[in-house]
Amino acid sequence: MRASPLATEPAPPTTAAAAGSTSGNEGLSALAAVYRDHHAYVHRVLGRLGVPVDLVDDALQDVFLVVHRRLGEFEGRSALRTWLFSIALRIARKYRASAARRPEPLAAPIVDARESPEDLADRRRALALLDALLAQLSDDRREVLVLCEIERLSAPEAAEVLGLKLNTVYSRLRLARQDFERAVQRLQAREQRLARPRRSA
Amino acid sequence: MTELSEEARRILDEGAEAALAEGSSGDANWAALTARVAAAPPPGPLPSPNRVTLGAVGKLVLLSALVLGGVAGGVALGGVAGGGEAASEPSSRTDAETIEPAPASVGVEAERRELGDGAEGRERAEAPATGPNDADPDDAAAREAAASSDLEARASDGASTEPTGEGEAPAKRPTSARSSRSSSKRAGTIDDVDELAEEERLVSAARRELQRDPAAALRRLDTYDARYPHGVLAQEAAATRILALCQLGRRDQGDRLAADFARRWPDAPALARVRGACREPEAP
Repeated sequence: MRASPLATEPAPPTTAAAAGSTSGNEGLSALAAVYRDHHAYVHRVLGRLGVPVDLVDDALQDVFLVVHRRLGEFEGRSALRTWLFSIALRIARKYRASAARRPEPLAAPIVDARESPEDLADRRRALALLDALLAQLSDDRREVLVLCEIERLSAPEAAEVLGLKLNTVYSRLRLARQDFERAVQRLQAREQRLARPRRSA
Repeated sequence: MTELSEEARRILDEGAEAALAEGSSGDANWAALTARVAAAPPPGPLPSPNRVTLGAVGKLVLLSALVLGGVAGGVALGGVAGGGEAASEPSSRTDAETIEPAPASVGVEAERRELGDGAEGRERAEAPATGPNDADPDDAAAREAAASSDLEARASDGASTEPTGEGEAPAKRPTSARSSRSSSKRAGTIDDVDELAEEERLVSAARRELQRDPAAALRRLDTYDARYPHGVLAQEAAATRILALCQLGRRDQGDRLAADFARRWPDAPALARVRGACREPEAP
């Protein structure tokens, strides 16, 4: 693999290194520490990567089960967060693949945020809107956009997580941004259309 | 590079913030997580984990290539890995299992047997509530439910459990989600082949690095494990990891993983080498 640009990343928590060679209790404590610090971000990334909303909790647990198993072996050469996202990405893909084969419609993100009831909390609207837009991207571009623009990974970090060349990440990110912009524009156009009474027709 | 418009940026930022706020039910998930850790069955002679996603032809081609590569490379991992296993495993369960997300504790338990993180079996007996939020993972009902869901997951190729609340037993997933997963036999796709090729690339690279830079090999195996927590080449990766650890003088770890390896793959061709790896220093 290419030389890791992540060598300068902060070392993972010391608990990580200790976990593998210590007792189960300590292993669980190490897991708890990682969980405490990162579960919200992992949950977020799983949802934004297209894991169906009703399965995000399961996927989250799957991620941390892998973490639990691997923590002792984690070399700390890449940032813990990058490592977590690598696991989350793979698990998200598997969930997406399963979801794609679901016969029934997914509990999909709300496609038309305009229809959100007025009493829906602002943040739910914001989240539904974001997911609706992300859902319009291809999986490849969505992954790059989520990692770089939401999770704020650097392009080299995203390349590490995705197993892509840096240049591929850059080009994919550029395309992903364009797609996202178009999706925003489409949504705005539709909102304007829907906001206007039918008399205009 | 194209920059995002203000509107797009705003949507992303607000959505990201909302996702964190809405986000994970930390307590409930922690409770379910620890219950799943606790519910992992003991390591021991179990059916070999099946983790092959490819159709038989794809498997054979790629794995044969791998085996041949290993021989040619002079790394006597015994033809390793997935090779014999994959070829001899029934593919009925595997396809779905590998494609599916880590099913309850199946994947994890298997993975832990496979590579062992030193915590095997210990949490099983006790899953103390060390959670960040004092969840109560010791709840016997939780463990029982998780265990039964594990069995069910085995039977129905990959269902998961779902926490229903803090310290409560993880509930069985609704059958709609569960049943939909059983139709996941679309193995042998291009994606699968690509994935396996990438797996092979990582493990082969690690093997090549074994002699001159075992630390690099370990890092590469970390990458492998992160990307392929249910990888087809898990056995090969595990064997390579043990050899690397021993070369680095991390014998305790190597021995422990070797014991796990032996439990999981008692018939592995590489077993003898793996077992002796930390006892016999590599010839200079």
